[in-house]
Formats: sequence, structure tokens, C-alpha cells
Amino acid sequence: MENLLVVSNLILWVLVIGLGVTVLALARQVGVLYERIAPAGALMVLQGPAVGELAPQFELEAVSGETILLGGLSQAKKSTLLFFLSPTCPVCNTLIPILKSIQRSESAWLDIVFASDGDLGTQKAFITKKDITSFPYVLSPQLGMAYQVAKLPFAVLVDEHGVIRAKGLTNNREHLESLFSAMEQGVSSIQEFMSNRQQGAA
Amino acid sequence: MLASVPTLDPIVVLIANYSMALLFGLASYGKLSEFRVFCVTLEEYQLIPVQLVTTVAVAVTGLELLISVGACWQPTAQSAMFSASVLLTIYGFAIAINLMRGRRDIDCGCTGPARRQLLSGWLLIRNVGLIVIAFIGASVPSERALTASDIVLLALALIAVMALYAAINQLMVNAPRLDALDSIMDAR
Repeated sequence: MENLLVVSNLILWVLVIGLGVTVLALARQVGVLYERIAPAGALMVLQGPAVGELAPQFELEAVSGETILLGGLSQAKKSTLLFFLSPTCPVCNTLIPILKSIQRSESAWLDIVFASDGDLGTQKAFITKKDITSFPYVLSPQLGMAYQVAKLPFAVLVDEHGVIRAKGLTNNREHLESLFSAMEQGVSSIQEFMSNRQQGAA
Repeated sequence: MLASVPTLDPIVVLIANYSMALLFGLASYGKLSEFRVFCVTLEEYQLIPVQLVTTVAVAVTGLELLISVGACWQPTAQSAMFSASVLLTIYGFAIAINLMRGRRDIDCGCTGPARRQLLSGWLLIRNVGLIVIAFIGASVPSERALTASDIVLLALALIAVMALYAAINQLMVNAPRLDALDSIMDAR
């Protein structure tokens, strides 16, 4: 009888450890799953002018002195990526090299415009430090208000006809690229695309 | 040492001691391996002046290491367990204060910064559980000679405890990811 108890106890220990390890493995798999199915795209923001509407028109003087026209028919027949940033936003800083490489590879159809507001001296020092002097850089609180930008970095993609094609909070390269794919696929955001696809599959 | 502390079978106390030794050993290893990141994590708690962050980070990591070593040695085990419960209580308050401030999106820094774990109420419950284990480890065991089978039992129990602890931690890491997914679904 005592032998049986010892043996059964040992078997139970093995089973308990086995179950513990199984639960751990399952929890890890669930974690990976959550990460995989999280939408890769820019987080759509519902405030401000909607996708599909005409972009508000602005005529602004860039930091460099040139006049920048935003919204309306593009004379260069190009789309515009309006990128809202601030020198004090760390995520914005990490995106600047990515935006530079996007401008190089997509210059055939895309212009990138940086938008910010605040002290001119700080902004000029920032532009020089980040080596983005070749980009149009506008300072306009009105522009941010027109798009109701609440969080940075925020990007708006406007096509050559002045229509907003995609917009959202962009924290990394995938988010920026999701704006371009949203425009290509004619949806307002990757979230909408995913939801359409799910409904189609159902 | 303390007559008021209840007596338990020595193996129960030993399991509690070694579990805490493992826990604090892993925690201090995680902090040491990425010490700079841990300093930033500590700073994010916004409870101590910035100038003191490095000093406190060194103290916390050193204390965790001491507890880990002290828990394995019978004469120091009880003081190690009491220090552990004090440290866990302080952590609990630090987390609770930040939860009340609404700063849920900072990293816990619990098992070192390698695995990002956001603050949540579950961490407080986990800490209470750990403090209970520390108190079990601090109690004076009854007199009984340990045999070889006790050592086997200790080893088996430690494996089970670690697997369970890792699983609970993983679930707490998962929870905010699920919340994030839910909020995106709701926003549609």
C-alpha cells in the first residue's frame, strides 16, 4: 500500500510538472498569436477631415522661405505625404531616416512635407541636425488644427487631386507603408481592409 | 528566532526558500544583464529623483541578489525572507501609485527589462501571493531529519513552481496585447 502511494505520488508530480509546462507553452503561443494578428497598419483616427474628402487648402510659407500649397489640385501631379512631427517627439525622430528613404524611392509620385509648430529657432536647429533641409517644412498650428492632430507622429496622404486617401498615427515603417497600401487598395485604413477581408471570408 | 511564527514541515519551508531564491536570482540577473534599460524603467516610475536613479537601481539589484543567496542558506534564510517581503511590499506600493496615476503603459521591470510587462492590478495580486510564500519561508520548521526523498521532492516542486510562475507572468504579458486588439475592434 505504501509503495503504491509513493508511486502514485511520483506519477502525480510528473503530471503536475507536465501540465505546468504545457500551460506555459500555451500562454506563450497565445502571446505570439496576439502579436501576429495585431493590425500592422497605422492606427486610424476618426477625428478631422475624413478619408475621401477634399483636403483643406493651405498656402503656407516654409521655413526655407518658399511657398507651399497644400490641398487642391497638385501642379506637379503628385501625391503629398503630410507628416506631422515635433523636435521633442522621440518616435518622430526615428521615422525621419525612413521618410528620407521613402522620398528617394517614391519621388516619382510622392512629395513629403513636414509639418510642425513652435519656436522657429528650435525648428531650424532641428532641421539642420536631422539634415532634412531639402524637404518642405512648414510651421502652422492652423494646419494641425484643420486635421485635428492630437498625437504625433501623424501622417496624412493626399493624392494629386487633393483628396485625402489615408491618414493615421504612424509609429514605424510598417505604419507608413500601410498608408500607401491603403491608398492603392482604395480603403481608408489597413483596419478597414482587414475588416472587409474578414467579412468577405465569412 | 520568532516564537510567534507558526511551525511547518521543513520541506514546505525549504520549497518556499528555494522558490524565492530562484525568483530573486532570475530577477536580479535580468536587471544586471540590461542595467541601463532597468535604470530607465526605474526612472519611468517617477517616484525617485533622477539623480538617485542609478544608486537606487544598484541597491535594488544588489538586495535582490543578496536575498537570492541568503535564502539558500539556513542561518540567513529567515532574514532573507523578511527582506523579500519588505521589498515586494515596496514594489507593490510603487506599482499601485503608478496605477492610480493612470500610468499603465510603463514597463514593470519585474523580471528585468528583457520582457516587456505593463503595469496592471494583477501584479499587485501576484505580489501578495509572493509575500505569502515569503512568510511561509520565514516560519520556523518543525524538527524532522531530511532524507534523500525530500531532496527529490524539493527539486520536483521547484520545477513545478517555476513553470507555473512563468506561465502566470506570460499571461500578464499577454493581457494588454489582447486589450489593444479589443480596442481596435471596438474603434471600427
